[in-house]
Amino acid sequence: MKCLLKEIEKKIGNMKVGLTLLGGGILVLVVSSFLEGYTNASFVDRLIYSTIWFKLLIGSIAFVILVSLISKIPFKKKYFGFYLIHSSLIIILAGGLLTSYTGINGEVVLYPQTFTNQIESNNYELVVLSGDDIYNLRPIKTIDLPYNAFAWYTSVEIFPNLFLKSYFPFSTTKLGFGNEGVETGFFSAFFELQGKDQFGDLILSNHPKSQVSTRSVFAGINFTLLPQMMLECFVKNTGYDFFFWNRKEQKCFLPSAKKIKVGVSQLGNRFIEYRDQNRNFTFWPEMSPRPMKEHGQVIEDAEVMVISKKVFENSNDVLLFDDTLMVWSMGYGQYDRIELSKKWSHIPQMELKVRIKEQSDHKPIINLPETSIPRGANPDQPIILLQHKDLDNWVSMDQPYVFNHLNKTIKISLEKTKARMPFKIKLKKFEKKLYPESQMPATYQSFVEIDDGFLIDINMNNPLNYKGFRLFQSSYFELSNGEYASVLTASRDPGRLYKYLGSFLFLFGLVYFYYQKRVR
Amino acid sequence: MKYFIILVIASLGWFPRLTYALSICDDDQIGKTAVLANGRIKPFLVHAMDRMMFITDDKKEVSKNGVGNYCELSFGDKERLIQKIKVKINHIEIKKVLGLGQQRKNIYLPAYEFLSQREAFIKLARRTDDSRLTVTLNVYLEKMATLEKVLNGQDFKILIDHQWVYPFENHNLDQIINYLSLKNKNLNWKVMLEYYNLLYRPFLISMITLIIAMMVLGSKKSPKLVVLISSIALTIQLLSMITRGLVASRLPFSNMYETVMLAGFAAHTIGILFYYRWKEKIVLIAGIFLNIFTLFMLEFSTGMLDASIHPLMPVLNNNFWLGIHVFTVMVAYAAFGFSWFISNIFICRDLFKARNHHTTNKFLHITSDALSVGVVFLSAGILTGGMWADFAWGRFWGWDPKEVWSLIVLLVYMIILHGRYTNWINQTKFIFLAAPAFLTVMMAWFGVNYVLATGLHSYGFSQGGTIFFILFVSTQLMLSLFHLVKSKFWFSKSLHA
Repeated sequence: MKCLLKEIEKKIGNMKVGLTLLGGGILVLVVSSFLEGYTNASFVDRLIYSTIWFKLLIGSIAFVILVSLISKIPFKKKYFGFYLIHSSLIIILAGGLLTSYTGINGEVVLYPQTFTNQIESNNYELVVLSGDDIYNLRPIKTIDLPYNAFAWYTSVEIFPNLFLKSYFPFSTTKLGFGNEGVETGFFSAFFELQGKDQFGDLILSNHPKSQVSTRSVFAGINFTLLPQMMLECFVKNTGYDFFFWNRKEQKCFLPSAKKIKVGVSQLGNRFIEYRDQNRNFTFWPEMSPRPMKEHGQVIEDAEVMVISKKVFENSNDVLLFDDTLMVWSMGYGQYDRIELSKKWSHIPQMELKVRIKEQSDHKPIINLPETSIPRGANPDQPIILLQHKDLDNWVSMDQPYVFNHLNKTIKISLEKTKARMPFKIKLKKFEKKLYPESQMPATYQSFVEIDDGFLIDINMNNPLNYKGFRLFQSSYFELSNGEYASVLTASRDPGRLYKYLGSFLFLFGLVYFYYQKRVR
Repeated sequence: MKYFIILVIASLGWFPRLTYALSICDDDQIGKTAVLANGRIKPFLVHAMDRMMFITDDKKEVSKNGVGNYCELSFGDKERLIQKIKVKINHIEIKKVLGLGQQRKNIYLPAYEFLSQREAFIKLARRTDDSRLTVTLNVYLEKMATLEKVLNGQDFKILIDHQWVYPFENHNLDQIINYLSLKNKNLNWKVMLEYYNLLYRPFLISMITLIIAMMVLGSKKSPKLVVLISSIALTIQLLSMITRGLVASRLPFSNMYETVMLAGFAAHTIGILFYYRWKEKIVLIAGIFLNIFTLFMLEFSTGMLDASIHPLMPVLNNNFWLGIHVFTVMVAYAAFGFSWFISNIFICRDLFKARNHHTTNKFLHITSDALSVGVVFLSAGILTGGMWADFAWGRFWGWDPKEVWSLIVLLVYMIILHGRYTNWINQTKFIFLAAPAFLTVMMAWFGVNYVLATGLHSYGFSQGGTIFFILFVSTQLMLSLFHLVKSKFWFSKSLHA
């Protein structure tokens, strides 16, 4: 046994092992500080400082220090400085360990005149709430989310038929296909374009749930996506250069000449008056396909539209009827038809090549969250993907998922992890003072009432110590009604004593060490 | 020696400029007038120069005509002035906005044209998602807002009938003129202190005194005389620092300018103390050199170090912790800077002269002592920083970049100090390593603010320091590498021969 200890001392208490570990630690710290410059503090904390391997690295350094202490164990007076310095480091690190596992550090957001005991930490959890209606919900379950930097993919059933599929601690959005709708007969597609000296993408969709429009511009050319059914209306020669379109029936028609009247306004604009069974509509087809009221106000919900072919008969308009592309040929005075596919198609008169990257006839194109690496000190954008009865649902901090289940309202929301203080506090008044003639805050303070009646003033450099918790004034924000909400930092730190004790011992040890060296 | 004399003469040329600027807005007393602006009471001179520097960013013009221009903008022929003064635009993004993206040189835009760009800037700021461009645009929008405030006479208040008012709120012109030209003898001692502290440039005087001390040292006079002369310089510095503290009503330890000011003073003091211990001229030279170096930065690199006194943000407003934490850290940095200088002298000496046991030993003791002081004070600095953070933010340690880099500094020096007990680092390597190790100090001190530019300690940020930092680091690395290569290959060759 003694032999083994000696061996460990020799191998691990060896200064070179310790220095190599320290060197490794320095490398990690340098990399993380630069990484923090590129990303942000929250990301690096999740990626490095709060991970178990980083703690193990510190732990192994502490272990080497401990072994080096043991190796000098028959106490000798000349090593007194050495003992002090190295044991104090272990005390400080032990305090840090205690803080990181049993301490609480977070924010208390105080809204005026409302009691709270919640401390929000910087991690997130998924809360399932249930109740008879949306106003009477109670939490029935919380799911802790890992403190990750990158996406977490899983498949946990958190409610019957409801699965937690993935968690992105940092997210952005990108256009993509959403859930399938019930209806079909729409067209959504991602196009790739190649002009003379320009490359690019075009995203068009006429699905009602899409978050992109049916019109877009590339290199000065207007692309308009129209329903497939309308194709024939453009090609058919009716003697008119416009046609009527019924949105509900998806059909074009030409009313009898009795029902319409074509005229020209004083400014030279063409208008068409149309009498539907009991309503009169006025169209200005060169301005908008929809009917207009007197002051140029468009009637959005009208069933009938008038589309002027003239508008598109030029060299910078491209019509798309799903995957059929039509472009006006100036020379021949007719439309050229090109069927688009995944392969490149050429539009000679525009020196343009087009291909469809992806298409769908029943899915809308929406902003889909995707995992990202944050840049700059923006607030985190965590997001959760839930799969409910095979449909995808995204849940973010400000967008919970609500549904009905067996006559109960269920709400699933993404929230900050909360700790609770053994007492409640209420913001009575918030005050901030600016330096004269400037916008710089000189001080701000919260007048707070504790639930057992105490009134306390918390300001900068004057925290509240109460029942093991310390509350600091840290920031504030303005509410929509002009009042201020105050943000306090709350901490409970069981390791504090060790850290202070260790610090004093360390300093004393250092001074003693150099003093002793000098004397010798 | 010639070089020093030229430098002295060149720096003397700086004196008359400020007085010249004062004589412009008719009455040269106006510079001393107390005004209330931007958070505190200050001399008109200080406020005018600050504002004109912020708006135009044109150092040359401001030091020449700043006060006059500001005065005219507030009280004089405003129309003429906004055609005359020019705003320097050096951000490439802004040049692009103005359609001048190709020009590499700085653009000087007349103020009235600059003001007319406001709508364009606001529109762009709303549209863009490039956060860097937004920040830059906001700076320029703030410049415009400030310029308009000046033109409207809303930029500062003056004391009339015991009340701070905007100059034109009061219609009694006699009162205004009496006040501005100090005819009513309403003097404020703090304002006077600040005014004369700026006017007489105490740091420049100290710098020249130290250059003289250096020359005396070079002419083989008694080192005691050198200590005496440099004590005069140190006293002037100390008085100026005290003045700054009195003016700001707090310890002058809060931003980059003030830490550089403190570090130079501390390094020189360490040099003198070390001189009494080791009786070596080299430590005196090191102290004086480091002090001159920092004084030079304070006086001439105003783009990097902002000398103006701003009120503190609330969390820093604590003289006790500010004093203890910043002071200990700065003494540590000064001691490390000291070891950096000594180490570099040894490296340079090693490039040209053969080593001998006596000098190596001498340098070893000095370096070792400086590192001891540095390590003790830096540890104290980090730990008091932890306590302050615990006291102000509720956490002892939070892996903030400034904290991380101060820890890196300590660990790097710890490796060097511990390495002496292994066969990895011998006596000479120990001295050689002290110079590149100081680069970690530079990173913790300047690099975190200028290069990383992130984190809670962002209150120390200023502009233009990146070039200085990169220059410093690359020069040191090149010197150390050159020395390493030379000693590895040439010395061994000469030994074999």
